Amino acid sequence: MEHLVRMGLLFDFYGELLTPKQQKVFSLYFLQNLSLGEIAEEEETSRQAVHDLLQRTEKLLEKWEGKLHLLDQYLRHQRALGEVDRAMKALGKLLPPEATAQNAFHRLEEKVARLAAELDLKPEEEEAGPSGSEDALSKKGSGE
Amino acid sequence: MVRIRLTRMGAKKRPFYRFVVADSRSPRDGRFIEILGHYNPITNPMELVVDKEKALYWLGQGAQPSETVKRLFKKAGVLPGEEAVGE
Repeated sequence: MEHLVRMGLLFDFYGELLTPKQQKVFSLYFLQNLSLGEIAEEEETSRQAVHDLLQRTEKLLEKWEGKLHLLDQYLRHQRALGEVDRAMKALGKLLPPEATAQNAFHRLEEKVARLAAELDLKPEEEEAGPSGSEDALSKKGSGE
Repeated sequence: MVRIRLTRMGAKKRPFYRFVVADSRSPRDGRFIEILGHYNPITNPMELVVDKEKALYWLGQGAQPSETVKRLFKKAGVLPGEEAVGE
């Protein structure tokens, strides 16, 4: 996984535990992908100070992940759900047309979907288009 | 200076990125000049789409890619350098 992606995910899980300053600089670097120089200018500080702050913040996030494993667990659940999802799709094609079998299958599908929602998961998609990104874009626009 | 960045768009725990061309004088407001493609690290296999023609145009204009962009552009075959697609 790209370092930037991992850092972004760790930030999703533990970002709220950081100080506002750490949150700001970290998200400028890892979510908006600004350079150290650009952030230094924004924050009216030195490039070195930004670099040090980022290093400390990364270490903190990795330390929390080392103890709590929330990201690791999330990724494992997501992979497992992806497998369940693929198996269900395959099973769906083999089902006899009788209503009893179809209804039982739909109930199972609903249960899996409820479990996924509870775990805040979405099955690992084979081909996710940019469809989800459009509302993410508008969310971002109104959020900041 | 014009830069090429990888900006994150997705919701929490659903990372999704865009390659954007942006002016480094207005880094904070999120305005960008053009979208060059997108990167979805969560799909299996990951999805990496770059408009090569546009990307080469901006690189030719002197746009500076971030380190991550540079690496992903190599993976996408926009920049030279043999890096296998996938992790």
